[in-house]
Amino acid sequence: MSPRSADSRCNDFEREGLLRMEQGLEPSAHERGCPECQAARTSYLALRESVRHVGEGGHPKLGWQSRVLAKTRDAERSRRWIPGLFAGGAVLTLAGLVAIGVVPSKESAREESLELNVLSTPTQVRGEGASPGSTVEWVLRGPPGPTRSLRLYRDDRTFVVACPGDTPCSLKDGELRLRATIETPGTYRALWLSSELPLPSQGLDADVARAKTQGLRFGLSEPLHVH
Amino acid sequence: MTSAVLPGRASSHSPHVPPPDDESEVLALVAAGDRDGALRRLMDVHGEALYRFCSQMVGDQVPVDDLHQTIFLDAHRDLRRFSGRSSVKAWLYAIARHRCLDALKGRRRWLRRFQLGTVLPEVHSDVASPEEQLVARSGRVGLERCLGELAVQSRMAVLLRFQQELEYPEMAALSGEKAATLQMRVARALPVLRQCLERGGEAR
Repeated sequence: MSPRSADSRCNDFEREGLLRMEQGLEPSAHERGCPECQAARTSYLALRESVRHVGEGGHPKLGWQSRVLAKTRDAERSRRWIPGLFAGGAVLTLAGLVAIGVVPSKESAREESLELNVLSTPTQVRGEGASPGSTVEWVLRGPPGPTRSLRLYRDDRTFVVACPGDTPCSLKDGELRLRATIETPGTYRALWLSSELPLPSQGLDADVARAKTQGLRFGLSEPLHVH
Repeated sequence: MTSAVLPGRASSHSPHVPPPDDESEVLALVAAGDRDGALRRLMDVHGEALYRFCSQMVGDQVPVDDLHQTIFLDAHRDLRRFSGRSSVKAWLYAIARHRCLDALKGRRRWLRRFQLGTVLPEVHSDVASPEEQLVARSGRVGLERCLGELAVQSRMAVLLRFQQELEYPEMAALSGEKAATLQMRVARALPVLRQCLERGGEAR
């Protein structure tokens, strides 16, 4: 047998040994007698192990589960609407009657809406958002009847305040209003819930999950970045 | 109405501790018609790993957070049709595979349509920050860059096999390819990866 370079022996491993490794087969007789091939195997095993850990520093943003759950609800609502829209004339006719005010829009009256307003900022903020010291309000509107509450979270995990109940809340003409001056930087997001029973907060993800489990109506505000 | 100053009440909840992977629980929830519960379980068990997979698959070409959430939305929609022929994990990664490939295709289409010339390479500063140097020394950046240099199908096979630790039969089921083809693809991709790392993670 003619002597071969370490490179060619390593190439042997790359041609055959790697595939055998992936097929879960034992090393060949050649590999068992070839220190270079064994070294190559060890090196590839280390490479495979490195790939196992790749990207370990990356995590989804906080509150992502809540956002998915909220979107599933929106998607289901849309899907329920689509057949109705394709049902044709009846819907169009009704929409026309609503438009000219003959029939009150029960759907629009049934929908809650959550509005976010930055009322004042002490310093100019580049782009969207607010700065510490800004006065902000969230206004929840909806039909009379159901008991609604509003919860504010910072960075999707820290529960900040709940309405009704805490100081910065007011309820007038069916509008639940949370107005506050925000001092701590972070990303703020409000969650509204329609529930007859008080629900202690366990954090945004847990609160949304519980709302879905209990079949409650709920919604999330757009995030407000305070920086 | 006067506004109140928010004190920043500190009552953060503890971070999620992923529960053990329990496919039978997901199946039981689906059978009971509790798709939301099944989705929550899937997100708890697979959310982080799937995010890592998507990040490596699409790199910085596509917003990973949107892609990641879309995969779980698709899963929620399709859970009622899940037949149990494959493992839940393989089924979920089949959705992820389609979504990643679609996102990359969409990105390529966009580049073809809106960019006149070829894509300019990213400009890297000659002087790396201390943090970059530290990370580069650990080899992670090089490995991630080299994974990005692999052909899409090879990258996917390598990630599914080693990062996500799927077995070849599961990979075959989720991709519709033969296990032998995937084994060959991985065996051919590893030397390319090694050579790239030996060049310091730079593209050829």
